[in-house]
Amino acid sequence: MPRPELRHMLERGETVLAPGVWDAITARLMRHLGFKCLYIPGSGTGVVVGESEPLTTLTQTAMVAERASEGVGDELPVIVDVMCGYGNPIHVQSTVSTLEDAGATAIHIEDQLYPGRAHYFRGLEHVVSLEEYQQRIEYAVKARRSRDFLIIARNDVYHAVEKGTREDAVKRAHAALEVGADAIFITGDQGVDDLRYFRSEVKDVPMTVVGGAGPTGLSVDDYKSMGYQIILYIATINASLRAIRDTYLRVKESGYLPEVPQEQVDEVRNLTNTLLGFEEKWAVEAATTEAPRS
Amino acid sequence: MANAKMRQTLEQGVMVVAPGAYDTPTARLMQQLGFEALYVGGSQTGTVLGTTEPLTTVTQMADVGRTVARACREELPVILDAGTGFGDPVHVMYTVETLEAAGVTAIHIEDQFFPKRVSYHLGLEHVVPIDVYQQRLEHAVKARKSRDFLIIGRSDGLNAAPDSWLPDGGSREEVVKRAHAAMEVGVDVIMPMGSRSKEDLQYMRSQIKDIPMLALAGSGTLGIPDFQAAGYQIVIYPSATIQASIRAIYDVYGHLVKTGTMPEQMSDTRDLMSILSQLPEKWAVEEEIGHNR
Repeated sequence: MPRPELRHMLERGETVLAPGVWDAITARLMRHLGFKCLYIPGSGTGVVVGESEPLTTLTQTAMVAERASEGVGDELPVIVDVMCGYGNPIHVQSTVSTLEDAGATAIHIEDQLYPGRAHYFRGLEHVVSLEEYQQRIEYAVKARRSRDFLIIARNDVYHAVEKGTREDAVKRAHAALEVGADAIFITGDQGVDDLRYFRSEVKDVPMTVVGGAGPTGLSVDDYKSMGYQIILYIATINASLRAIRDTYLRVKESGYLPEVPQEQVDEVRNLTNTLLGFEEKWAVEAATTEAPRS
Repeated sequence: MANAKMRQTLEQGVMVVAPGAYDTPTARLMQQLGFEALYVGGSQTGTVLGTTEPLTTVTQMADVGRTVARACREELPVILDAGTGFGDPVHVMYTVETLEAAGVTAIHIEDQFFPKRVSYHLGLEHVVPIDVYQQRLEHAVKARKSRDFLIIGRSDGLNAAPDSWLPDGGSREEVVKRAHAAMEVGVDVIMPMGSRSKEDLQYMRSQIKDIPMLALAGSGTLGIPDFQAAGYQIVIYPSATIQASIRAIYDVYGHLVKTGTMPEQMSDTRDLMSILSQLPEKWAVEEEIGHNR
């Protein structure tokens, strides 16, 4: 079931941070850190599935979304990247109902070519016509059962091979709004100037952005002041796999795991115990199977 | 299908190092790093699933085992934690059938109580009587189809709490006794749990002869050279993978929560992500057919 909280937060004008997750433990860790929403990025799911984003199927995306949502007892809204919606309007409709069943609260659908190409990851993006894009969004909106299930219309025309302009991106946003999209997501901005332009031209609807990183990256406050309400963070899996790689590179090179100070070991152990609800389970056992025998 | 390489490697007296994996990218990452075997641990899998090990089912373990084995096109043997075998001998037989069909190569079965208790993670260990343990392993060995599918007899008898069949609690002598009982019914490898010191490891090895032994790396400072010197042939990593992941995510997103920015771009991970999702092969095909324009 879609969670009404996302729509409510957006209606109240709040900023929603949605960190990328892919399984129960990453979802639960984000909830523990205080995030109110989760995100399933296509790039991350592509790595989890092992075949890259353009080969990821609707079924796999729904499975990952379901796993993450169930990991937090379906208590947080989950935004899912469904790329092009996996086909023509009839496929888009099936995508919407599948994701709604999987416990997602929002999806973003884009205007890239379907089937997707691996060269997208080399910066080559192709987009379909405005009419075809608008149909995708129109049928997505028609297919949803709950008003709490939100359709975020993404367009990639600005940096596409077809050489769109930022005016084209705005045009596509308006086309998506005409057919009832709940939020707009324009990719390929070249910085603050573009972000401000998009916001000034696309009015009265929440806008989505991918959160910046590093010393030169924009902050949550920057996005807030520019009027962006949904901030997506996609690099969770990068952080995870890089840390694992570094740990085992050390094993490969020296035969030993990296030395970690005991308090850090304890910190992660205690954190994990909290995430898994060990205290509650121990209490049940102390009262039952581990109770002193009379 | 069990991977014959593992039995051959052990027969040749070569060391098997199996880092922990729990999904496709972690499995493939280990293959990239040059490891030749993988380990699917119960505690780690229980953590990833958000359930804890004692609540994890054989079906879930089989799913993770299958995913990990397939991620590396079954080129790497997978050692999997089958816990207690999930019940009585009939359940143990079903466990073996399920896991062998899932494509893992070796499983370890222990002498803890079934159903398992979460207090095990507090260091409170209970073990079944030695004859119950031996029956589990006997039926596990009987149930396997391929001789390449290996049964590892694990005993938690070192730190076990006292019980009527074990009035003084666990000891290293008890572990040795249980290892011999396991060998009588045909297990392929012995895994003594809870050995933290070189001295314990050496004692077990001196009392348990002519069979490969397995050691755990993670808690403590012992590494591959120490285990090798002590005569252990298999080293597994039960928790280092998930710990590294949780630590890294916690740090990066903790920074975001505190400061409103992500600490860094992580652009150095682009190639890693591409390789793990097999993008270079796909780019090559697209170049051939003109999809690179």
